[in-house]
Amino acid sequence: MTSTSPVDRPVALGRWLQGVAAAIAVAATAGLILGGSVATVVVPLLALAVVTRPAWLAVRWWRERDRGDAARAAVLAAFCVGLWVAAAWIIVRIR
Amino acid sequence: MVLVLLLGFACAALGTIGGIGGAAILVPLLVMTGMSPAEAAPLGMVTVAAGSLAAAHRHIEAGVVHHRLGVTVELAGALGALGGAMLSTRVPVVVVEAAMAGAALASAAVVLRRRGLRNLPDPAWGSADVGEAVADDLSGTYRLDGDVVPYRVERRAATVAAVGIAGVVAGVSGTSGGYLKTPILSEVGHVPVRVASATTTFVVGLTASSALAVYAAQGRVDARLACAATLAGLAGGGLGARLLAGLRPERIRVALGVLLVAIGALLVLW
Repeated sequence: MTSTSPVDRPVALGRWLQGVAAAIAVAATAGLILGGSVATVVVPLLALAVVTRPAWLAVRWWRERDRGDAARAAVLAAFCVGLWVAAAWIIVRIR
Repeated sequence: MVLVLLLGFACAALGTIGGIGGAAILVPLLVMTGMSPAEAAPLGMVTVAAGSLAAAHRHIEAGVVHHRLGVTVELAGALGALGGAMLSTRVPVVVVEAAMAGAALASAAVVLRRRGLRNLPDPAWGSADVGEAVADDLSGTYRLDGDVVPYRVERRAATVAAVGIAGVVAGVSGTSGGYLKTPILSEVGHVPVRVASATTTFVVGLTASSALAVYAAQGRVDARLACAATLAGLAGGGLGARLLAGLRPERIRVALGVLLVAIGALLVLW
């Protein structure tokens, strides 16, 4: 590592995730009190909120021409989202 | 419900400090209180995902999470977990538990054996340098008691391969594998334990969200209990990240070692 290496600290991502966590907390509280379909959406929302992090990083790194890291982050995000798309397809098909 | 809130909160807080997620502690505890493993496992993953989300803001602000390292190792971890999940029906439960307990206790021995700091502060670095470096060597710096400590991931191929194997164990056992990933990053990759813990907290959130997709497809997620686990994970993850920021690396290593011993003991008793 050299002292000329630019440092990356995605503070905007942290603020975004803080807001998302607050929104999930509100949804979970509502789900806990009301139950039913309100409660059902909390877990998919939570999972997708977590996945926004590598997706956000992929877009940011791509714009900054950090292509290798952007590609890895995009593959990871696509893998996680793909599993949820498959899960949704299975749930809908069974119902 | 109250039990899920209390245990979920405690396990998410401890899991965020040690960078182990917390499911490997929460699930055995819930099973010991009478819940079925099939019902407890998804709640463990919900707690881990929520804890990861809640800790993110503080970890990023402190510059202790290395996203490039996390993304690189988690690709191997996710592939390993996929392979492990496919193997899971063919491996007897007793073998899985013995492998998990053995891995946790071996990791504890490695973590607790080491003394002192491997990465030392360097006065050549200032506060403006804190964070992950935009470089191919997966290097970075973090703040320690007002000083800045540079580090670089050593033995990268071995680190990535070890996280891939940890992913297989995670996939077979249905855990996030954080209790293996933090010791691997710290002891194989020579990443400072605070950075290893924060980075693993990031990646186990992804592992947990993937596992939740499988549990949701299987219809194994109790929606209201999951809401309680979400709230517990969010509160616990936030507290754990705050506590991690104030702990010295030696104490984080002791906390991690004790948690690993606890996991090993729980798996033997379970």
